[in-house]
Amino acid sequence: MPEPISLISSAKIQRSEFLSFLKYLGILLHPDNVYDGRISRENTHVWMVLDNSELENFNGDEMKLITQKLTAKPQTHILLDVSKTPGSEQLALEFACKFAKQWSCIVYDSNYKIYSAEELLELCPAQAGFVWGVDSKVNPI
Amino acid sequence: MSSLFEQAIINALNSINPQKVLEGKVANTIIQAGFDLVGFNKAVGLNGEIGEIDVETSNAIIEVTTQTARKLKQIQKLISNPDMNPLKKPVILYAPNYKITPAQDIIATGSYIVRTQDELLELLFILGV
Repeated sequence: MPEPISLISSAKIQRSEFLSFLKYLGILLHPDNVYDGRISRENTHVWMVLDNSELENFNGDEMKLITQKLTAKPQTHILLDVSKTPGSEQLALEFACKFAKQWSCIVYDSNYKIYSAEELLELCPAQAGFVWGVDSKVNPI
Repeated sequence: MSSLFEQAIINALNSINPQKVLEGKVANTIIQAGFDLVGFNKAVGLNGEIGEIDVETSNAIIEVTTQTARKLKQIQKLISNPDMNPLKKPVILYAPNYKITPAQDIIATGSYIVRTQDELLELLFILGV
């Protein structure tokens, strides 16, 4: 199954707002009974859902670094489940860039690397995917 | 190793991605123990648009992860989506690093969580009876 990436925002985003945002972007809404939306391009896919319960699963070190990078208290967690097919991370990045233009956020990827809003926006014009990094990594256990 | 999925499993075991390696190890363990592997890295739906299944036996679907949390939604989908799981097989999360609190959420869905190969084989044996 797909790999998780978190979009974490200091804004308190309501589900209705998030769904409107997805609809505005032309994203398929409610592709199944679990996710709020799905982006697909050929065989690459990203499923997304607003799920604040995951904020409670971060440990103290993770929350500290997330808050530091966000420069505010995290209020909303969007889970991006990224399919394993090559190129899927590009789709996730494109979505994260659009999200970041709407709401202040950081990205916490599946390799436990945290990207600040500035770092994320630097990646956007380059159209690069999330890369496996070693700096800013957190011990999630 | 002799399986329909032999080459895919070898590729996974030789991957530089720890997640892929773990999937390969789980599939290999299942075959070696004599269980029926019926799916490995299976894309569901047109171009995989419904989802992906890591490992499937004739009696269970196994989601494999190196993650410490954030798998609840995928497990819920594996349990409830008729395209992903038409036979309503039990769903097992194989997650050696999973934290305790999110693990409780997984168990609350009615699925299983295991952290070692021995735990997995023991559970597959129970589910297979």
